This record gives sequence, C-alpha cells and structure tokens, in this order.
Amino acid sequence: MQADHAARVVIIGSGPGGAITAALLAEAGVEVALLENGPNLPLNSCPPFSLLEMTQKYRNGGLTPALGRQKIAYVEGCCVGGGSEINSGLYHPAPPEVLERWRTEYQLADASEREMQQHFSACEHDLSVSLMPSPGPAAGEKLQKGAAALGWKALEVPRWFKYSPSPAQPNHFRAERQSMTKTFIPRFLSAGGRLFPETRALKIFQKSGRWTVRALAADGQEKNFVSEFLWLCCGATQTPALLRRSGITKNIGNTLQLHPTVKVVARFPDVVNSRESGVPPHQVKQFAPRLSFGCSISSLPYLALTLIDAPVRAEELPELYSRMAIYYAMITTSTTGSVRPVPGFHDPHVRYTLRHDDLHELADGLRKLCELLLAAGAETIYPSLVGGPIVQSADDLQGIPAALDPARTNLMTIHLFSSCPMGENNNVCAADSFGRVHGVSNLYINDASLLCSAPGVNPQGSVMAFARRNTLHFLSDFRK
Amino acid sequence: MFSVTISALCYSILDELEAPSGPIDYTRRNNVVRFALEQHARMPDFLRGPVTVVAILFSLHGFLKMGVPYHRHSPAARRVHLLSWKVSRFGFKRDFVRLFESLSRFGWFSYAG
Repeated sequence: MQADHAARVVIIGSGPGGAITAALLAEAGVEVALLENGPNLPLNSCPPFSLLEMTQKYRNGGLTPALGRQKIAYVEGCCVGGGSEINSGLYHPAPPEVLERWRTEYQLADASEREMQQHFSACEHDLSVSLMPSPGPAAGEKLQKGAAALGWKALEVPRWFKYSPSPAQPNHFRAERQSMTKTFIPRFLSAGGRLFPETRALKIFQKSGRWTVRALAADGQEKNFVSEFLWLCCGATQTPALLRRSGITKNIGNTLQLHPTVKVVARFPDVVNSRESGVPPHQVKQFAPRLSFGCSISSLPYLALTLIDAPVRAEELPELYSRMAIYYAMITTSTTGSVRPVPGFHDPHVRYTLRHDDLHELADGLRKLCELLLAAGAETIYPSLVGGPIVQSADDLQGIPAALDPARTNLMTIHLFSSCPMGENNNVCAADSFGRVHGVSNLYINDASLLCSAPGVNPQGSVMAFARRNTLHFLSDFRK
Repeated sequence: MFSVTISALCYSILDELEAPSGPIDYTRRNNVVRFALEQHARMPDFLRGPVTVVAILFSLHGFLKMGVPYHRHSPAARRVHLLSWKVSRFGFKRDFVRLFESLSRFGWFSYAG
C-alpha cells in the first residue's frame, strides 16, 4: 500500500473534539495530519444562521433526518471547525450527577467532578467563556420575566464569545464567537500541523501495525494517509459510520442518544426581535435535567419555517417579525437509536424512535413552555404541531395532547452523542475510559460519540473537556 | 422531468407566500427554485433517489388526473393537486410536499433582501 501522506498521528474530523486533539498533539511536538470532510472557511464567510451558512457549512445542507416512527431533523457542521462554526456557543460543563452516573453505569474511570474540573477550566479559558457584558436580547429577557413570575429557575448561559466595546455605539459590545477556526485550528497550524480540508475518509484499515485512511481528496483523487496512531473525531454519526464501514462494529453505533426538541413561536405586544438579536443565551432550568427551555434563532426565514403549520399569513410576517420569537422545550431521555452505513452509499442511516413516555415528556415540556411564555406576556403562542392548538390563555393549554402525536409534531435536535460510549464496561462501551477503541490497537475516538449518555445540557463543553483529558492521557503514555 | 416538476411545485407554494397584489418577483422565485434543487443535490445520497422517484410520481399522478404532467397544469389545478398530496393518508406524499414547502419558505424569506 503506497502512502500519499504519512504522519505519526492522523486525525479525522476538525470539530471541537478533533481541533483540540490536533492542537494539543501538535504543540507537544507530535507530527499530525488533520483530515476534514468539509471546506476550510473563515468564521465570517457567511452571516450566522443564514441560507448561505446552511449551504456552506452544514452537512447535507442541513437536510439530515433521524428516521424512525417519527422524523427528527438534526444538523451537523461539515467544515473546518465542525459544529463550533455554526452553533450558538452556549457552554455548560457536564453536571456532577451525570459524571457520577457515567462512573457507575459505564465504569468510566478518572472522570469525577474534581478530576474533570481542570479540563473544563482550561477549555473555559481557551475559549474565553463568559457572560454577556450588557443586557441580552429582549426575547431572552421575556423568558427570564416569565420564570420570575412563576418562581422558576432561570439563568444566562455563558458562551465562548469575546466581547469588545463598539467604537460607534456607547454601551454596545461587539461579540465574536470563539469557534475552532478562531482558537484551536490556528494553534494547530502554528505548531506545524498539516490540515487537509475537503478530504473525505472512506475507510480505515490496519496493516503491519500501521493505520491507513483511504480518503477522497479535494482534487477528486483517492489518497492513502498512513500513520502509527489514528484518532476519529468525526462526530456522533460519522465516527460510528466510518468504523462500521471498516468492519469495526463491537458496541459501535448502537446507542446513539439525542435531546429531542419541540419549538413554538410566541407573539408579544412589544418588540422582542431584530436582525441583530442572534440566539439569546437564557434558559429555564426549573425542571432540568428532565426538561429545559430556551431561545432559538428567530430570524425571518426561521420564523417562517417554524410557523409552517400556523394560520399566519406569510405576507404579514415581515410586519409581525419584530414582535415574534422562537422558543424551545428540550427533553433528556435515555432512548437510544442507531447509526448504520448504507451499502453502496456514503451517508449513514440514522435511526431513532421516541418511546411513548418521551412523547408524554415532550407534551409536558410544551405545556410548561407555553405557561412560561404566557407568564412572560405572550399574547399568542403557536406550537409547531400540525393542526395544533393556538395558545392565548391558560385554558388553551388543555388543547395540547397528553402525548404528542409523532406524525403531527415537528421535532428537531442539534445535540447528538453517545454512539460509541467510553468506559470499562465491555458490554456497552466501544472505547476505554480514555477513548481507545476496545480490542483494537492505536485507534482512538475523541468526539461527542464518546459521551456515555445524554448530558441534559449543551454537550460541546463536555466534548472538549473529555477530548483534552484523553489527549493529555495519550501524551503521557506516548512520552514514556 | 424532475427539475421542471420541482420548479412548478415551488412556484405553486410561492403563490401562497407572495402577496397577491403587485407583480410576481420572478428573480426571487427562481432563486428559491435553484435553492430547492441544490438542496436536493446535497441531501443524504440514499434519500436523493427516492425523492426523485416521488417527484416523478407526483407529476405522473397529475398526468393521470389532467392528461398533462404537473408542470403543464393551470395554477388552480396545480394548487388542487398539491393540496391532495399535502393531506394524503400516505406519509410519503405528505413528506414530499412538506420538504419542498419547508425549502420554499426558508428560501423565500432568505431572499427577501
């Protein structure tokens, strides 16, 4: 097998897991080649949450459904920096009770709250995780107002954003998301790492103790990348798909988890939305981890999409837009799905079917979210249900069914994980406590696939903290 | 067949979105059609073929009802045919219309200027 490129370590995937792995290894003097399926674009190559971003940076243009008895639309980044280039930058460390459950159920070693603290702190520092320096968007304040009226717990979630005073407007701040192309990718390149964008890994195999990645390169040619160590950081759907396509299947792709989410549009009597609003970083955690409520991007195209089943005339939307905002209810569930390659095709089949109790939880979440928004002063709420009720008063909440009908509910998620869980429990875990694939030498996973179960919060902080921990553990062995 | 069917389908959906008063914004509509066709090319490869087949079925079904394929129906006949698929008891018909309704709505308001 002729090598087109050789390195001590090859990493596939440059999202939050892959970027931090690549930067730390390169800075430690390891020769690293980083392969990325998507293009290498600057963070500001397109407006955030725009049609252009969808076509430039989303996998399959954002048309990625998890199929089952219901369809759940999900999105993944497909560009250098992965999901960090397209998400809203909300940061949560994994809750202590989640880490404890991973320790007991998955026999995950050395990952207590105390042991993980240094890794979360380092990521917070490297990504400039911080609160907003000024009051947030009005849609977020509405959520806080509703929570205060009901006595529910609300918070502003810190984000990986850098804020600088606007020279033009006093008391205004310019916010810059600290995505991977702003942080770890430049560090990786400065340390001498080699980046191969638009290079799609087709298959991996090991021969004579060395790993080969057969990849389709940007020039349309198949290339072989040969290395001693191989790290897969392609995300919760692509990592298991690549492994299974390559014949590595034990506990791979059988336990995909996600945070099912249902949305509503709330109309207020006053202005809550503008082109500059972005995603307000406010959430209501009164019922966490079971239920969480928060704000979504509420640009005009997304409002039009979320109102697809609502009796709102399209030509009225530009006028109503400033008084409308999108909110979500998200549930945490242990329901699992699967990821399987489809013979003859590149894209994997993601299968996920909600259980009946999940549909009850979603209905409960929807009802509580409407209650919250009514308390915040919303005059009309449009749940994203086909033929669903319009909520204008507490009495209307009775129109929300006890369990959502999967055929009539528009469900989505942006959080997928746990398709290759880590830990020493060989019955369920694909990799050991530090990401090394069980039963295979010199093969590692370091992305959202590793998280043992749904964390109930935005997972990127946990993905990065575990990726840092696993990489430092690898380096300590590597140096020996 | 596929492209002209999707183009006609998007135009029917956009008839509902564009204010009835005033001239038809062909540039914006054509941008939406182009976006919908490009998104079809981007979707997961194992879904692309089935969506193409359903689009052809959609047009042929129109042919059986009216004697001409969907893209040659009058605007009123297109609306009736679209609605019959939108509320069909067959999930694949509803899903097909839903996909292009979603793309058309998102595209229409993205190209609003």
